[in-house]
Amino acid sequence: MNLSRPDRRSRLDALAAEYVLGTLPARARTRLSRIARTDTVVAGAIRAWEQRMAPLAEAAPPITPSPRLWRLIALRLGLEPVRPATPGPWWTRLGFWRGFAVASLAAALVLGVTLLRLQPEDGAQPIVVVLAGPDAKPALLATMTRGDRLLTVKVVGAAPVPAGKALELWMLPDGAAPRSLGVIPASGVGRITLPALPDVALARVPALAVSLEQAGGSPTGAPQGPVLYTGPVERFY
Amino acid sequence: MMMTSPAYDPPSDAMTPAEMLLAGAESRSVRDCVDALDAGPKQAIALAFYQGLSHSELATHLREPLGTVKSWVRRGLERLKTCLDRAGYARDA
Repeated sequence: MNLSRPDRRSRLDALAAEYVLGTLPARARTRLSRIARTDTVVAGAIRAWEQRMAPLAEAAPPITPSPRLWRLIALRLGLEPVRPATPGPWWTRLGFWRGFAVASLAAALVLGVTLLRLQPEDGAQPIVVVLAGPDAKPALLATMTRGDRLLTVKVVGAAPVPAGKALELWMLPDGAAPRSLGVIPASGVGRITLPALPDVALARVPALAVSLEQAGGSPTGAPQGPVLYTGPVERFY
Repeated sequence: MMMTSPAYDPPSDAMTPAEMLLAGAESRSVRDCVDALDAGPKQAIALAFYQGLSHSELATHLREPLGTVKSWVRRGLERLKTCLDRAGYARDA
């Protein structure tokens, strides 16, 4: 059944609505989600419903999950290795994240809520991240505006990148493993498209980091090489 | 940290799902549209959204036939959309 046909519009809309509400039965849910990956009309209908429901999601009270539940969530989402044989990389160590609001992130994940905020009237408010190394000298500048998914990164003082290596940009979410934003050029200006508008993509991301990886970026989805630069996400609004 | 039973068990001073639905409706148009829903659809949508109940769980919880609950959800969402889109709130991309 081709859901993107104009005469199927109301059927598609009913499915998208129950998909976002969470009442679509599992098989239909899986099917719709698969179709939405390639069909922009279907994806658009789902996105529109996420926007309609987003303000309602903000009223949900935060629920602190038990350590066991949080672990299960992290495992299911691939945020933690299933059985760490060794102490694991720096970002999996609990101590590193102590003080971060693990609970609030977990609550949002439990609710399965996409906190899509509506675009503000003026989307031009800037968000700036100055990434620096241990010497606190600015190495890279990541900038974006609130209403645009485009992130621009400019190399201002980074050390030269050895041949066969690349710089990879990461989001450092509250209490979770780094998420790759992609490989950035070793010099000049690079552009990266965020997975969502900054308010959503960086909602619980207090900082960005850059690590040194093999050419093409980390093959595992987690930083392999040393973290060279980090910087807090600063919002000017 | 306390581990309670798997079922969602809201503390007694918590807002009811229907109250949350209204509290969440921060912008006037969303609030008006939620408020305009009939009691049945409003409660069914709130329970599905905030407590993750399925159609059959809604039917059990609300002590209504499954068909009634399904139609409450469907009609409630349709009305919500019509109302919100009329208010220019969100449009399909």
